[in-house]
Amino acid sequence: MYKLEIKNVSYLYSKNTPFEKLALSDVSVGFEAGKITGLIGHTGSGKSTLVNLLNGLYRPTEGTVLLDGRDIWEKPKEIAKIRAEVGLVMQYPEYQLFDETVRADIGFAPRNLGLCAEEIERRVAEAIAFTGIGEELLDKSPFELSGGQKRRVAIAGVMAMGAGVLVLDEPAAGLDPRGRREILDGIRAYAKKNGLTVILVSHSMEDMALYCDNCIVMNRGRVYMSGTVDEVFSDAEALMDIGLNVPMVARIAAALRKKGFPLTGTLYTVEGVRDAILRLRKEGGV
Amino acid sequence: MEDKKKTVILAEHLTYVYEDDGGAHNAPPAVSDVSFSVEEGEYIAILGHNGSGKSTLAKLCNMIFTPTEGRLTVLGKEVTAKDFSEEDMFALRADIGMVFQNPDNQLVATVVEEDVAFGPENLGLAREEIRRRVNGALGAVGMEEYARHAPHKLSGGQKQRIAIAGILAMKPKVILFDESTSMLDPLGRAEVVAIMERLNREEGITVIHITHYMDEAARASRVIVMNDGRIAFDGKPSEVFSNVDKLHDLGLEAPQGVELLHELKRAGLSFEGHPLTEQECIEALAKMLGGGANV
Repeated sequence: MYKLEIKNVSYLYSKNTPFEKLALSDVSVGFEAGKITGLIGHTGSGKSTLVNLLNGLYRPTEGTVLLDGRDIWEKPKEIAKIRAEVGLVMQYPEYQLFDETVRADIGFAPRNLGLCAEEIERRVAEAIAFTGIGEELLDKSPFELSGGQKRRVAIAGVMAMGAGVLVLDEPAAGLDPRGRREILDGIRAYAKKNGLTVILVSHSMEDMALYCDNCIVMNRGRVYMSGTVDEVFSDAEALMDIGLNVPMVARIAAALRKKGFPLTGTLYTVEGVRDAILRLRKEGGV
Repeated sequence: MEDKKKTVILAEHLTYVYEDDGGAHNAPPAVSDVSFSVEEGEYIAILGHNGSGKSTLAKLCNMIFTPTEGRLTVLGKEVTAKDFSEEDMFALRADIGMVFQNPDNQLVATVVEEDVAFGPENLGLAREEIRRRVNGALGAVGMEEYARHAPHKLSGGQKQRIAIAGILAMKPKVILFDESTSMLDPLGRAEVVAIMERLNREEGITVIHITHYMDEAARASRVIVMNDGRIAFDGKPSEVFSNVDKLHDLGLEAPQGVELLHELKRAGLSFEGHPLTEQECIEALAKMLGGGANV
């Protein structure tokens, strides 16, 4: 079942001006409830436009965006409600921190929702647990923190809003490898525990392969491929055709298959390729 | 290339402690007793998790920070010497440029060529010389046709190329890249890395590249790994990346091909040497699989 669905959506920037540009062209795609869906594509492929349509920041030029089967633009004046239902973590969200303490910043959304103090406290505690923010940081100013810590606070702030859908645009960009793992592990654990539908935008095909259930590949304003991670990543050549970087191990596996070594299985993660090679060895090689 | 290599950076027992505003508690040193040297024409990658001290080290080399302790010599001038004046520093900075992380934070003008001209204008050069340098620098980064464009309308990769052109217009001997690729998309990253490599190879500029991308580091001629303000590894990429378990302990990874071979070694397979690049890994695996011997 789709939690969020885009039906025949087109989007024009600067409509009726000389700068008019078609960013999305008749796109139909669904995001399965309770799953993590990766959104892949070059800069300019239309994926950021799609993200901004999902929570009503943009209104489709044509077509509809459905949340739980209902058109989010049915009552345009109530679009703010949609934004509380579809939480958006923008790129480099650490630039959006503003409050005096980490606790107040993370608690901003639940406070605005008019929740009671205990519920705000509970949400803040849950959000910091999943994003790996130590309790000792709660009373510090967010501006005293390191870049990686600020990023976590910003993500925790959107988590605390309690939205059923979380859209994250490059949540791990610019972090060191351990930081990437910790943040993405935390997002996945939080989503699975709360049954959230997650949409993850990233240029890192390695992260997509590791964390997503499904994948949608955008190219030139259209959906180029979509399916489970297995389906999308097993066609490494189709991804390379539009100039996307597939994980290095996927390229290695493809090269070995070309040389006549019949590797099979999950050929896009380190573990998957390792197991495929070990299986082939056991079967007696070529 | 000259036969005799000059030392462009010589760091001896460098320590740097960030001053705390309140002074209530002493922050641990961000860089602690670090010694190394960089020879002219080297292409060095510096790795390390966030907070490992790698950016601080770069900012010491570029004289943005002054070492708390130790001796630092840049291009033959001891910058920690008592008689090293501010004028000396400004003169030296023209030779050692730095490109920062955020492409939006380092362009100052509203037209690309004016931005690139900012440095040489401040050197008080003649008009024709400025013009020559700006054109040359824009050519070196492949942005000539954008000379009259507005910087804010460019892509992230193009902005970084303009920032690099601004440095090149100062005719530097060394360029430090402080995570200059981390905010770029894959295309922008590839553009910037290609320019770094070409400047190093063809112009003999010494490149020091701080990065979180292991595949970028693997292309350097030398890798330095920082951890807790100290140097944990310093060597050829093939040597450094062969310490996969150690790198994991330091919060880092090796390039995926190396990680794959490491996993296979743990499962009992063996490979000769230290395959590093994608091609080397493919060859090592093909050889092993082609050998046909059962486990």
